[in-house]
Amino acid sequence: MLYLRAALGLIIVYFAGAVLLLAVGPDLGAYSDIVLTCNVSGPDVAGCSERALSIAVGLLVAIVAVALMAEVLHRQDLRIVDSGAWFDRAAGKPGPQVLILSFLAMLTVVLMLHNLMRGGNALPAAVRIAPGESPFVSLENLCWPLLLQLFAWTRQPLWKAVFAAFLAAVAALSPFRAVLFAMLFFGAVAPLVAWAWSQRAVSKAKWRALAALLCMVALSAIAMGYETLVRERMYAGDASVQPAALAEGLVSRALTPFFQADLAAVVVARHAEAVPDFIDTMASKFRRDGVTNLNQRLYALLYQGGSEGQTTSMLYGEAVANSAYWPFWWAFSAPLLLLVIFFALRGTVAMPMLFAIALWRSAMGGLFDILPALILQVGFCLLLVASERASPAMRRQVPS
Amino acid sequence: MSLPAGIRAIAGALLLAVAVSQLWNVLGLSRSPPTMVSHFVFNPGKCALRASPDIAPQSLSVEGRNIQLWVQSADASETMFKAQGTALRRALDCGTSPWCEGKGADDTYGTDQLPLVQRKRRGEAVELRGCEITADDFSPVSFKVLQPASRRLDALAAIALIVNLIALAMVLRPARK
Repeated sequence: MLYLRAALGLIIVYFAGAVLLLAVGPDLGAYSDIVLTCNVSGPDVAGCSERALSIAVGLLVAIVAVALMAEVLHRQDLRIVDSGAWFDRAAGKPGPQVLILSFLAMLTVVLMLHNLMRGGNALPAAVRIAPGESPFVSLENLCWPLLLQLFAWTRQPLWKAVFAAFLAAVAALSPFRAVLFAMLFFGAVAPLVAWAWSQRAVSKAKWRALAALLCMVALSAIAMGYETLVRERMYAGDASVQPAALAEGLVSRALTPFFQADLAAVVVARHAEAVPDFIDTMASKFRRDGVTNLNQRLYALLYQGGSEGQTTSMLYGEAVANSAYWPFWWAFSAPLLLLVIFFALRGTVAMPMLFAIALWRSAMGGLFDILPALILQVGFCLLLVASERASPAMRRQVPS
Repeated sequence: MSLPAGIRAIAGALLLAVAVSQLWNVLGLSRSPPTMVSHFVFNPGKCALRASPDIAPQSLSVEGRNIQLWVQSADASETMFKAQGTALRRALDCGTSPWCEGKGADDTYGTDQLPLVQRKRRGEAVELRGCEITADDFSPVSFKVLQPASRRLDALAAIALIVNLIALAMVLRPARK
């Protein structure tokens, strides 16, 4: 439950912070992405902000209800869960070894091609994702949650180092700050918080754990700050952008999804027939030609150009695009559905990292946006379990 | 439990391959040509854009009435913009009639247009009078040339490379007995 609690806690803190900022925060007229979105959704930034605030409040209430349900489900589930020791047993058998190495080999090809393309191709600053890069970005987005799950499962330093190297390679290439953030948060900060909490009664270890946690939080903040500053400078085409722009960039990034969720509702109200539904979203994830999903359509509406990208219209945007029912109902039931699937599968294999990341990502982009990837990731883990059960144990195991 | 030597060797090879490509990325000094962004508008209610060998699909972005072409080229110019317009015009299908396809009776075309009709019937891409794509159907708007961003040392890529090399060193270190 550590990772699921971390994901739900993160979403609650994020939504609560957004409510606070939208209610009593800075003048949003200075944030270009928000102004751009409000220009389309109308009538002005003030009116647009009011709607964004009501969306943020609704989403906050929904996710708090989901967190309470998660605790209830957790207490009802009395099965003893093998939290990952099985993985190191599996990694000692030929079947799972072949699967893991095949996965890493495939990822190696993707990373090599992406690095080679990036190294020989300096694009204009205005281009966030070059058209030729998007398949690599998608494949990396499919792989990194799985890598993080493998990283969390294994207790062998060698496997941890290998998975960490691949994770770092993906983070370095990803155009999304959220990838680095999720890796740092779920891969380092959340486990350290849990460890510090478990050591709270031990006087010496308590301070050591707290110091490690503070170091990690500081390093994560520096990494995110650096990434944001570099992006602000690059997209502005101006190397003199000051660190003050950093806070502005982060606030803008934090609040823009609520405005994009509102934009989805406005677009649906104006042209319901032209809005992609969940089938289009799933089809576009499998790269069916000519199909765009809701978030891609909204992105194209806002940022016309050759650069590819997606908005984050949240579960609210997804709900209004697919149903005439009260959208906050979906904001409650979609994460709950993920939790129910997690608990149902927990008897076979616990995949808390995958589902925690799915909770976080779906809160931003919608459930159908992440569902195809989650199915493939869970499928791989189940295959790993099946091959572990089918493989004979190694005849000779070298003790560590 | 330590990893078998074979697994270490394969993992090491994969890490090495990624490290080499990361090194290429971090040190990549090759200068890219500028990007030419061309903007055209068309009538999506009447016309559809067909696939064309002259237009790479990955360089094309169509949204509503707008067509944008992104091409990296050292020859970005007005001439290239005009050539793109011609290629797009050829790729547009704005609906047609049997008459426009040269399937009408000869006496309906007029003697001056009959040679064109004959060429059309032989399969040449010829536009008959009265069947032209008008400015309402398609028109070029503007183009701009974007210079590539100056290359910078990406700290995250450098850190990723260091993490990779540490992992590689761990994998290649002989297993303890």
